[in-house]
Amino acid sequence: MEDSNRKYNENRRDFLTRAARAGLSMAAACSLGYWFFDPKGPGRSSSIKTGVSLADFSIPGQKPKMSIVHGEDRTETIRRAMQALGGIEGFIHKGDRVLLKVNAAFASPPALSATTHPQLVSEVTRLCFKAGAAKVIVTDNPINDPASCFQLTGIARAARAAGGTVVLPAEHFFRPITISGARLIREWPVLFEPFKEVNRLIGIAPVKDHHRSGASMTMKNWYGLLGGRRNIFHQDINTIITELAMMVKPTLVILDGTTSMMSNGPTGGSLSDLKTTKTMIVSTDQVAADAFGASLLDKDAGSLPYIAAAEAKGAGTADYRSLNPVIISEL
Amino acid sequence: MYPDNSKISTRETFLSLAILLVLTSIGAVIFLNQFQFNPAVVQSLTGQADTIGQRSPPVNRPVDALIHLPQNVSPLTPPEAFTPDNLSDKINGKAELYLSAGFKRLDSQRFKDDRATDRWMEIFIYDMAMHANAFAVYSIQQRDDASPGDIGRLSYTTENALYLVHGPYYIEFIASEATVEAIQTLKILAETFIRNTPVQSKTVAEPQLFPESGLVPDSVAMIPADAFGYSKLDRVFIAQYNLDGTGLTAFLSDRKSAEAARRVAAGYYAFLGEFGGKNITPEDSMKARSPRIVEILGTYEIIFTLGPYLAGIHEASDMNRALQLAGRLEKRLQDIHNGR
Amino acid sequence: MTIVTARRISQIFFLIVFLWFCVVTTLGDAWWQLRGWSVNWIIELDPLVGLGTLLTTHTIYSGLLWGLATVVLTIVLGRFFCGWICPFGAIHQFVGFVGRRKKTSLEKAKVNRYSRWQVVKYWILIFLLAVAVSDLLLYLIRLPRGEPRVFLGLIAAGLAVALILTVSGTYKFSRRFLFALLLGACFWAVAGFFLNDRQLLSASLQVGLLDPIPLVYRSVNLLILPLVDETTLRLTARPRYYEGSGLIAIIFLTAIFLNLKFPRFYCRFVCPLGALFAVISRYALWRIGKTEAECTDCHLCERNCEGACAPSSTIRINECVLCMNCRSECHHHLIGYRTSPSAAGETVSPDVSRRQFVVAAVSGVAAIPVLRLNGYLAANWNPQLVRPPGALDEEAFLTRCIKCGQCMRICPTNVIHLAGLEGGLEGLWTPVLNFRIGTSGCQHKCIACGNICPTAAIRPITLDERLGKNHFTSTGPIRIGTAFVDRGRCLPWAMDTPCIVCQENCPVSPKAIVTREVFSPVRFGKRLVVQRSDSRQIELEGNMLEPDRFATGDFFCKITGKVFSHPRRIVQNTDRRLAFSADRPWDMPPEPGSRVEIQIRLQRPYVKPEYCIGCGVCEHECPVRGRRAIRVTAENETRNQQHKMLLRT
Repeated sequence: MEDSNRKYNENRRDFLTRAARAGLSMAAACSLGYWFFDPKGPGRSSSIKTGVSLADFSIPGQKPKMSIVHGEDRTETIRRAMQALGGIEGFIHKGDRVLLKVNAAFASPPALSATTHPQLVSEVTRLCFKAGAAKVIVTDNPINDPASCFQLTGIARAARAAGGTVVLPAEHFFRPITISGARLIREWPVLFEPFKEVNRLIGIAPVKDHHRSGASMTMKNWYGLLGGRRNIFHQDINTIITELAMMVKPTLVILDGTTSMMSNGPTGGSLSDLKTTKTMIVSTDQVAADAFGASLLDKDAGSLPYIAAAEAKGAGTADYRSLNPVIISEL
Repeated sequence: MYPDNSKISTRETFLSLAILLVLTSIGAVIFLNQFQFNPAVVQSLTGQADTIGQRSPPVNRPVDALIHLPQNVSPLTPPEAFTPDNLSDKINGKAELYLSAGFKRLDSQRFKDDRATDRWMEIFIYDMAMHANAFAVYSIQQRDDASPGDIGRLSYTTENALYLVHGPYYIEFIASEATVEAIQTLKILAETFIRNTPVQSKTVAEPQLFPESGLVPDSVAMIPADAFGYSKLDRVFIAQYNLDGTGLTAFLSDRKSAEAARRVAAGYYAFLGEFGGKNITPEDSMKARSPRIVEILGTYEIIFTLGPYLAGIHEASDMNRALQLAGRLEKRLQDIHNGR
Repeated sequence: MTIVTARRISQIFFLIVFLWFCVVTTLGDAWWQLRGWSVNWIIELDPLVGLGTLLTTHTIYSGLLWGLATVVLTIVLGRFFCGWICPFGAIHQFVGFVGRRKKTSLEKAKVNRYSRWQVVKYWILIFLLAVAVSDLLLYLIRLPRGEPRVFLGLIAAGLAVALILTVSGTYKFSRRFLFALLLGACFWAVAGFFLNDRQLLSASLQVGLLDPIPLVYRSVNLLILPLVDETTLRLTARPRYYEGSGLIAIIFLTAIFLNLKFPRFYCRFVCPLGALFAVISRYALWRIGKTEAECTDCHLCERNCEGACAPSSTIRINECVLCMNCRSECHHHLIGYRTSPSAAGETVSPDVSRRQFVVAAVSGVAAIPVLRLNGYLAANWNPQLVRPPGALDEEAFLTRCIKCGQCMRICPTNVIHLAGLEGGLEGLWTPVLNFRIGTSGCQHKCIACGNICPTAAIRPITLDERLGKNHFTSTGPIRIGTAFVDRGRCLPWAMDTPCIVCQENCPVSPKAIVTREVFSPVRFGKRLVVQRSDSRQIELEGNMLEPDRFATGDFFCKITGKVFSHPRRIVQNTDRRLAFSADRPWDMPPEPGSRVEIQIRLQRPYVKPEYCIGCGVCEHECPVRGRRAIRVTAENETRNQQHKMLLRT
C-alpha cells in the first residue's frame, strides 16, 4: 500500500514536471509562430541585402574652392595647389580618417598615365597625415585583377610607404545602393566597406580621353566604386557618370593634368597617346574640376553631356570661373 | 479477431466518436473552403484576377447607347471596352497597327439576328481620335476582295464583313456567315449607327490631291508612322499608279508649313543616303525646288516639296515614268497651292 | 467502436483527402478541378516544412502556420501524425499489413522488434536541419563582430552567473570546464573575424528530399497521376510528361515495397519528419505504457506494433506512432494510453550519441558551402535553369523550395519540370521550365504556379505584376529569360527556307520577335537563260525547273547582273516557263539570251530583348523539332539583377 502510494506520488510529480515542460515547449512554439508569421510572403527582390547610402563628405559651411597650378613636378604642384586653398588643414583635421579613391583601373605602368600617379598618391597621403589624419585608406575596384593593378601601377607601394592602408576590394565589401532620382544606380552594389570607417573622401584622377564618354576625369573616377556587372552601364555612359556625381559628395577632388591622355583612352598604351599639359587641379567641386579639365584634352566642356547633366542635378557648377580659382602659373 | 474486445468501454467509444466528429468537421471545412477560388483559377476563368487596389478597368459604355439597334437584332454578349493599355487583349498582335495610328478606345459587342439562329455579328468601333487616323487604319487594311460598301465614301464589304470610316471612328462589322442576308443586316446596322452618331463632317483632303489619270482605284492609303522605314516620316498618303503597265507609288504628306516640309524632306534624303542611296539628280536641275532623285538598291526615289507638301515617288523601277508622274503631281499641287 | 477503428478511419480519411487534393490539382472550376480546394493543407500541416523555412528564411509563410497546430498536438499527445494522419504512413501500414498477413504471431512480433538502425532517421533529421541552419549559425559566429555589445553582454552575463554560483557555493566548476569555456569564448571572439557575412555559410532548404509529405505529393503528382492521365480517366487535357520521373519511381516504389519485408521501413529508418515528432513528443502528457510491470510475455502486443517501439518491455516513447494496436491486442488489458509512464519503464530520447550528432551536424553545415563551390550562385550560373515566373532569385529560392511538385502538376501547359542537376545537386527536383515538353510555352496570362506554391518559393503574383501593368508599370513585366535565335539552325537563316512561326506566335505586344526581309538566290546547277519573254511570262532554255516548285509566292525572278532590276513575284511555273504576278508585270521583260535568277524571299527573325519575357512559346512552336532553332535561356531574367543583359528594359 505504502509502495503504491509512493509510486503514485512519484508518477504525479513526474507528470507535473512533464506537463510544465510541455507547456513551456508549446508556449515557445506558439511564440515562434507568432513572431515569425508572415502572411504575405516575400517581395519581388527578397534576398537583396539591406541598402546603404554614402555619407556627405564635403566640409559643411565652406564655399566651393578651386586652384589650378601649372608645373611638371606633381609633389610640388599638389603642395602649392593645397596651399592656394588655404592648406590641406582646412579639409583634413586632426583624427580624421581619409579615403583616397584613386584610379587604379588597369595594371599598367605609371608612365602610361592610365592610372593615378603613385607620386601623387604618396604626397597626398603624406599631406593628410601631416594635417593630423589618423588613417588614410587607398582603394579602388579596378577592371583588371585588383592585386596586380595596385602593384603594377605603383600605387600600393607609394601608399604604404607614406603610411597609408591599401584596401583591395572583396565581394562582401559591396552593398546595394539606391540613389534617389537616379535611373541606373538602383539597388546596385557599391564598394561600401571602406567607407564605413572614414569621414573624409578625396578623389584623385588623371585626365584621360575616354572612347565612350569623351573624357574620364574626377566624376568618371567614381565608376571604380561600382560593383556587380557594371559594364552594362556602358550602354548609357553619360547617365551613369551623372548619377555617380549625384552619389558621391567628396571632400576634395584632385585632377592630375600633369600628363594628359589625349587619345585611345581610357587605357592608352602608348606614350604617343600622351601630352604634357603641366596642370594640377584641386577643387571641392567635381563638376568644375572636370569642366576645366576638358580644356586640357582640347575639348569644350559643353561637348561632354554629363557635365551639364551633373550641374543640372546639383552636383556642382560647370562654370569653374565662378569659383574664382587661384591660378598659379608655371613654377 | 480481438477476442477480448467484447468489452469496449463507453469512454473509448465516446472518444472514437468524438474523433470521427472532428474528421467530419475537417471534411466540412475543406468542402466549404473550396468555394473560395484560388486566384489562379479566377484568373484562368475571367482574365481578371484579384485586382485589389488597382486602377479600375474602363467602364463599359453600352454599345446600345452608341448604336441604335434595328428591329430583329438584339445583343448576344455584354459590351466590351478596351483602352490602349489592353487593346492587345482583344486583337492581340494587331494592336500595334492601331496604337501607332493614335488609337483611343475600342468598343465591341456581339449581336444576334433574331431571324436566323446561327447568324450573329460582332461590331468593333475603334475611336481613333481623328478622322485621318481612322482613314489610316482603314486604308492600310483594305482587303483584296473588297467591293464598294455604298455607305458613305469610305466603306467596303467583303463576303462576310463591312468596313467603314465615320468621322474619327473606324468600324468593322463582322458576320458569322457569308450570306447576302448577313451583309444586308450589317448594312442596316451600319446605317443605323451612322444616323445616330453625328460627327464633324471632316474629310481627308490628301486623297483628292493625287492626279487622277493612271490612279489605281481605291489605292490611296495613309501610313500613320515610320513610313518607308524613316521614323520622322509620319502621316504619309500613298497612291498606286499604273502608267501604261508600269506600277508606281506616289506619296504625299501635308507638313503644315513649308519649312517643316523642307526639313523632313532633307531628313528623308539623308536617311536614304545612309542606306546607300546615291544622289543622281542631274546637275543642271539642281535648283532649289526641283525634285531630288535618289537611286537606292536598284530603284529610284523622287522627293520634292511644294509649300507645306512633301511629295514624291517611292521605289520606282522606271525613272522616266517616275519623273513624268512626279511632274504631274507637282503641277497638281502647284495649282492647289496657288488656289489656296 | 474501438479506438483502433477510429484510427483506421482517420488514416483512410486523410489518405482520401490527400488523394483528392492531388486529383483536383488541375487548373479549372469544375468540381474535380482546383477551384478553391486547399490542396496544400497536408503540406502545411507538416511542421518540418514550417521549421525548415523558419530556419532558412526566418519567416513562417502563410499556411505553414498549420504546422504549429501539429506541433502543439504532438507535444500533448505524441506522434499522432505518423499513426493517424500521414498518408505515406497509411500506405506503408497497409502494405506492411499485407506483407505479414500470413505470418505467425511470433514471426510478426519479430519483424516489429526495435532495431538499433532506427537511429538513422535522427541522423538524417540532424543533417537536413544543419543544412538549413547555416545562416543562423553564421550570424551567431559573427556575433562578436556584428553585434559586439550583445556578445560582450553575453560573456559578462555568463561570467556573472558563474561567479554567483561559485561564490554562493551552489555549483563548483571544475578547472577543466572553466578552461574549456574560456577557450570556447576566445575561439568564438576570433572566429567571427574570419567569416564574412555573405560567403561560405548560407542556408539551403533540403528537407523536401526525404520529408514524407513532399515526397508523397511529388510521387503522386509526377508518377501516379501522369499514368492515370494516359488512361480514359484522364484529368488533364493531354497526357503529361516529366523528365526524371524514373528516379522518383525508384524511390517511391522502393519505399513502398520494402514494407513487405520490414513493415513501415521508411517511417522507422528514414523519415526525418517522424524523427522531428519523436524529439518534440518527449514531454507528451499521454503515452502508451504497461499498467503492470509483470505480464505473461506473450509479445502479442508487438504483433502489429507499427513503430517497433517495444511496448512489451521498456517502451521507446520516441518511436511510438500511437497506432494503439498493442492496447487492443493485449488479452489482459495491461496496456493503456495514460498520463503515467509504463510500469515496465520507458525511454524518451533517441539513441543518438554525441559523436553521431556532431558528424551529422557538421556534414550538414559543410554540405552547402561545399556544393556552392560549383559557382552556380555566382559567375557560373546556369542559363538553362529557367524558373517559373514569380520564382525568387536563386539563393532565396533555394531557401524555400521543398520539391513537392505542386507547381509541376498545376501548370496547365505541362511546361514546369523536375530539375535534374541544372541547378546543381542542391536544386535537384526543383522546378525548371522545359519548352520542348508540354502543350505550349509558359502561358502569358497564367499565374497558377505562384498561387499554388506552399512556401512562396514561387511568389503568388497577380497578372498585373506578371505583365507589368497598372501598379506595376514602373517595374515592367516579369521576365523569366530571353529567346535567342540559333542562326545555324533557323530555317530562314541557315536553310534559305521561309518560316516565320516564332514571330507569328510571339504573344507579347509589341512583339519581341521581328523579321527582316532578304532575297536570297536559289542555286541551280546551270544558268537560266531566257528564250522568250513578255511582261507576264518568261520561257527558259532547257527544261530546268521542277514544275510548281516556285509557285508558293515566296519566289521571285530577277535579271542577272542588272542592278536596277526589281525582282518580280512568280505565281506559276512549269518545267521551263515562269509566270508573274499581275500587280507588277515586267515593264522591260528580259531579252532573249539574257540570264535570270530565281530568288527566294526570306523573313529572318530577330529577337528584341527589351520586349522578350522568355515565355518560350517561340521555342515550343519552332518547326526545328529536335534542338530548337530559337531557345530561351535565363538571360535577362528579372529575378536576378546580376543576370541583366540590357540597361533599358
